Amino acid sequence: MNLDEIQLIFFQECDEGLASMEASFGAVRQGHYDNETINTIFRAVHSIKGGAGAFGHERLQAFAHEYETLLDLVRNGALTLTPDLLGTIVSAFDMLADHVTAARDGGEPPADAAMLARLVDAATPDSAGGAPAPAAEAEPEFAPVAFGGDDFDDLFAMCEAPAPAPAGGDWQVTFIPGSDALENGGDPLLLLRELAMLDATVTSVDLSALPLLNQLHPERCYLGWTATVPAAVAEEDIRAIFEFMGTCDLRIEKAGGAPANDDLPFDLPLPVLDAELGAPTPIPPVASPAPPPVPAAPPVAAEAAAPRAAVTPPAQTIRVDLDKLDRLVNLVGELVITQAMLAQRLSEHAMAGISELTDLDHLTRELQESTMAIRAQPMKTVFSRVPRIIRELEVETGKRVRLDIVGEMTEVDKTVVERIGEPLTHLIRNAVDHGLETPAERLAAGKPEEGVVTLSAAHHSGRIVITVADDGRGIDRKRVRAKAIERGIIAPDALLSDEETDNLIFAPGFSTAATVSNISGRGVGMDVVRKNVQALGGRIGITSHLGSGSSFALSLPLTLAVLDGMIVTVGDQTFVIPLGHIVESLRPDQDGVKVLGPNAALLDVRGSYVPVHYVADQLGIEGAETDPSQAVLIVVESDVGQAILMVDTIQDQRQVVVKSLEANYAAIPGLAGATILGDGRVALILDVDALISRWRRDRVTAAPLGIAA
Amino acid sequence: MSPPATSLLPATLDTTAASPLRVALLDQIERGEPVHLDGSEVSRVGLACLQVLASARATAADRDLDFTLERPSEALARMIGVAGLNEALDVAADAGTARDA
Repeated sequence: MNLDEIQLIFFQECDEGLASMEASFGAVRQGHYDNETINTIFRAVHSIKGGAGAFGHERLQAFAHEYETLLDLVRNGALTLTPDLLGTIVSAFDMLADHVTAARDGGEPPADAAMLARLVDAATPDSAGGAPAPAAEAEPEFAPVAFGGDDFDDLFAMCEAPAPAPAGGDWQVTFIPGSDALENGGDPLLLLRELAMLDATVTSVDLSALPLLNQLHPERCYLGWTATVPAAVAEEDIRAIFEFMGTCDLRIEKAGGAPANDDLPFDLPLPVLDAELGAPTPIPPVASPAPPPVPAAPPVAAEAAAPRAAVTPPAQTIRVDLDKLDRLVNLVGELVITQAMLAQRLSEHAMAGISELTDLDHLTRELQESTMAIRAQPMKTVFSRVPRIIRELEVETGKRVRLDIVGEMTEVDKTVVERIGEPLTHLIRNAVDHGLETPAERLAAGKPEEGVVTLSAAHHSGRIVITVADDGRGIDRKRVRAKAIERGIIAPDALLSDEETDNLIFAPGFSTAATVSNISGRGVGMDVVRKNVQALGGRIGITSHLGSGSSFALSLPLTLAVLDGMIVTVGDQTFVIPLGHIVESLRPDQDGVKVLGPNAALLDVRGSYVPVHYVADQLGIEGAETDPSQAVLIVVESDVGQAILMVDTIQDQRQVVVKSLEANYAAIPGLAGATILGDGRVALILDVDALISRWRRDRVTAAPLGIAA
Repeated sequence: MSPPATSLLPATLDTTAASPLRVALLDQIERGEPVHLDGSEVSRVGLACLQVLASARATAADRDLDFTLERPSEALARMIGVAGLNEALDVAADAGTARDA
């Protein structure tokens, strides 16, 4: 593992740390917090600081340091968490996230001078409104001036100071990096520097293993150090420094509390080094005569865990390259196809009933589900970015917003998680900017000043439904209609249902905002949202009540790699219709279908007339059934309402493995992909939304019916 | 190279610089020449080079040769301090700061 990879892990852990901080802030804001919550925030900042130091991101480290100083004062009760202070802490958190991003992308670090000043200010008890300072003794420890940017003078002086005898309870840190510590691109010096920032004093350096120059391997590490760290520093903080050092011999022990400890050879100060240099006979490593390490870690760990038994133990995880995972998923897909082909071949020989085939079927299905589960990620990864967006919107709009998140642990395929972020951001912005009223308007309407945006995720019949709801003003359908007519989106005399009116806000170029703000209101947002959601095989729905808010529900497939579909034939072709779209399938009576023209027909489906699309005609397939009463009509739900696809026969209903047309051939509008059937033939998967809206459009231009039916 | 000559250490003494530094110092010591180093130009230094320097000093002492590291830059002196190698390299604790401050 090289330094870049380790650094990558560091940034991944930064992200996780930031996410856990965000979650903790959520708890703090709702008043559900205790010391452990604050501790969690503190620890996250601390490990970011530690890693930043180890990888030389000095600006990030300096910022994290000040931040940590303030958090420590909150943690030990020296500062009371007032709303003002919380505001500072949360703003600083956003800047910390910016710093992390800058460090990762090699960009310009954010201008943090003002924020640093705010942090230092907040950490000074007199200026932090009414905070008593009972824990003043902790202050000098973390005095912000002790470490200013990259000025190491104090640090240097500290190292040079004559080694103080370890006071009772100080930590003895013995640290021997592995001989390959330098080969990995790391440098133990950085860790020592980190250690020095915890007010550590290097009391001795073990040079016994250092060979003469002719035997020295220049890139091997031969040294070991012993340092004293003040008792006030938590053991985990010391350990955190060494977190990124893979193979190193680290001992952290409490000095016995007796000055007698000084007599240990363990702690012999520097003069011993000269002796070694004069006569470099190898003497046993300094560390070895030390008493066997006191198993200090387990009790401390237990202690830390004790206050909160309810905390779920961290699940054990490994990080796997996504490419490897994709290859596995692809192979499993191939296996499923091969299994289907085998089943078909066996059935041709009247052997479909053999039990091994059933077993194989179960196994492949289970294997497929397990593989898909590996790629599943909780929505939390997306949701955790939302609080920040809300905070920024609050500042930009002057509105007050509370965010409620429900179901953040709902799992969904990684590709969906990755691609849902942008539409979701648009929806959130829309909810705050257009949905919620200003505080004054809310009060006038008899609502609480603070608006509520609810973000939820839930599994719903094989799909994930993500809802963004606000308790704002709701969609004013009259205004929407007026606007749509003004923009020429609908005809002035068009008859629209409430649902269709609501859906107009997804039309390209539509925006009801009186003024264009830099948040939303350019009339591109909702259009893009729907496109993005459709590209994910999803649908978007609106429920809105004037005066009490709107709710946008995104319904997405859990994975894009497999699809439940109905296999149908049209002429000599086989197609797959995604099951999510299918409402019902039926064979009409002789007079059920009203034929209006050469290729226009309507079917009376329990009282409402639904247009019938002749799939064969529209896709240019010959030899298909033309008599609706001899064909199968499949009622499908699409963005533009219900429609009927007329096909010849239904073959099967099963799960198919989606093969991307884009990756293997080229993207074709109207087709969502392809799959390989059991007989080895390729079947195209219909993109129902795209096809229906195209057919509708074609028909509307041919005969301007408006959106009727 | 005449014995009293002082060699100027390069600006960068990172891990990759350790091997050439070792070879240069080893050559000098094996020729029986004392080692006088000028550290005033050093701006970056890692542990690998500090190890080489410490080992060189021990090796020189083994051969009864002089080894001095003079005029360490602030960066060099700081890192020697952090690594606790002041004694091992015979560099005064305030060497770098006193000169450069």
